[in-house]
Amino acid sequence: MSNKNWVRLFILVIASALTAWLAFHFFLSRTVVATTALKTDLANQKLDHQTTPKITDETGENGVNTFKETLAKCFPHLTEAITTPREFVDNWKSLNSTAVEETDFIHYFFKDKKGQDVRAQIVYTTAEGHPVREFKLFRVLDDGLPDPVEIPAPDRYNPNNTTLTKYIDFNTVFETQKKWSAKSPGSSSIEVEESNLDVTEFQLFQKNIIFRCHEGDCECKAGN
Amino acid sequence: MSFSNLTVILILSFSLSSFSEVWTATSTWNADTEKEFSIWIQKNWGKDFFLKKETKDGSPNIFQGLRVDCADTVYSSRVIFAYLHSLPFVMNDPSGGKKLISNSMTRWDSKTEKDKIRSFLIYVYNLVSTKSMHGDTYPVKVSRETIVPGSIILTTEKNHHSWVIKNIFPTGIPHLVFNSTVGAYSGPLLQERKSWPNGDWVFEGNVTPQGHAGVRYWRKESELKLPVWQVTGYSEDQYSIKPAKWKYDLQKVLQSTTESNQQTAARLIENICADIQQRIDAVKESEAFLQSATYRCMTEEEFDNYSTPSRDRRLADEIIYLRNFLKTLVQERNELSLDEKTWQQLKIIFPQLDLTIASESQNQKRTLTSSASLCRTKHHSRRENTEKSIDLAEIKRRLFTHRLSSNPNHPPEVRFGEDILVKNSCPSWGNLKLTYVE
Repeated sequence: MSNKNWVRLFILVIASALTAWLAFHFFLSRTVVATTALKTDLANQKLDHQTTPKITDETGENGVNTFKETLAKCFPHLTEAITTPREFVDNWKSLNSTAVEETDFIHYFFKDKKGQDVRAQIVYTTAEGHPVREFKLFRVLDDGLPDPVEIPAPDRYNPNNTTLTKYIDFNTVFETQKKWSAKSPGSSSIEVEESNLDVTEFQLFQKNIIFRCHEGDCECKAGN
Repeated sequence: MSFSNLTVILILSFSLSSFSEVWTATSTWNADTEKEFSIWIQKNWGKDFFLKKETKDGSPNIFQGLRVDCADTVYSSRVIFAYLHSLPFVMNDPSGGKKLISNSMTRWDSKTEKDKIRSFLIYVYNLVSTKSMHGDTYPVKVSRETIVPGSIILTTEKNHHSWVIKNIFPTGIPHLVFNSTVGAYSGPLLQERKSWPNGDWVFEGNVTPQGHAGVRYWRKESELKLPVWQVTGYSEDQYSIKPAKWKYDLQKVLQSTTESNQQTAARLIENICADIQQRIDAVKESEAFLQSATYRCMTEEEFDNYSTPSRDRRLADEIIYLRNFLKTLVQERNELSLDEKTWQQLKIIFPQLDLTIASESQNQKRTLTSSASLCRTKHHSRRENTEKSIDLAEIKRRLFTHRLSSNPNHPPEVRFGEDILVKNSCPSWGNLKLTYVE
């Protein structure tokens, strides 16, 4: 092949790469790959972490039932004293101080030494009737999705704090997600999802009443 | 090769290999594709799905050899159908991220199509569990339109188990496909049963929607991020049913014909025989593991994988179910609705229906297997290095006199209740004592 043809070939390869790239983005992909576009996407995602939606008492869009309005329907006597889901959940806890809180999971989002996103997960479960805490670790790859990290079995089950600090840099934790539930000896039970200090979702089941909110949209209805 | 040909090949190969998805979805989920999913599950999903070399049309089974636990089995059914029908598969990220996991992922670019789909499945298996399942599904209304092949059943966290509904028989009884953690270790063969699981077990510990238990169906992609109560089709129907009545109510709603007493007896016996065989396989796996580990004590994780208290409780539940069915027949003087052979076989297993099952079993003499035995099978004896015959009557006697052991550090003959004293100083985790409700 002549030098001229090699140059033509080189240009064609570059052109085809660009074509493939554009085709991928416009017609095929819902996933972002490692390019400048990815960096923008990741930046947005980090913003998402920082601005995790929370249930507020502001009027939502598109006919969303706000916390305040819905609380007034379900528990009118509480509207003066309680203005946020956090306060509502804390109030339930103080009224049901004997209820045992059962953790479902805790997620820690943090950075490793290279500044890469890592997610640690402590999953509370039972195995053949006895409680087990299972520890899972995920590196977040360029596509923004997790990649499981192999953890030796002795560290994976019921890890103590010393073990956890081997894997989690608690100083760089930028988001903690937690899900827990509790049941009072009466007929009231609650399930709560939290992100940092915000309550992002809760469901209260009380005799004849279900009160629940998810990211600003609430519902009060008759229960079973 | 001419220069122009070379460039065309280069462009094509680059376009195809670069950033390619696991598969490209060219169709979308709608009522018709959901119906196709249901039919496909009914026809194709079965215990040998990951075992067979070829599919029904004679092409190689590219999923052969994959090993799955119960949650993996459930997710596989949806992923594989979506792949085979060029539909999207999308699920929430169980690690807490906000992005969705989907067939559009491009991590396996350089792999062949077969390796891409297998890698994607293994990736999904590494992420999902019964805990992630409620985020990708919703509880359905109890009706013939909403409980269909392809639906799943999930238990509460306490028992963390799940099943795929392969079929609903006209009698309202489901044909379920599932697997267990030990099953995933032991090989690619899945398990099947033809009955509803016990509602007390499914909803154990939480009978509210918070427990996420019951029959559920896959969420649409657009509804994955919604709170479950806003998902189209979400229903709290199942939580208003008392757990003990749940399976009877479901059967009643779903049945279009009545099951004859003979059919019921045959089905219940078939389920129990399958459970016994699965227990034998599980104990065999446990023994193979112990042998490979030179009979050292199991670690906590190994102990969890190979112990069988939940399995034994399910077996006990199935036997009690059959016994209660028989008791009702006797009370209603309806024994003749069973054929003579079945009646005689069942009388050997349940000789004193007026007593509790524990008392009946205490009074029962050791049964030797014969050609008339139900569920005749063999279990291994390490001490005698031989296979020992056993049948349902004998297993039932040993189970309800607490002779069967679910402790995986015990030799197989002890796990099957041979009267042998064993010294075992290995640590044990959890409550291994059999509990049941008659």
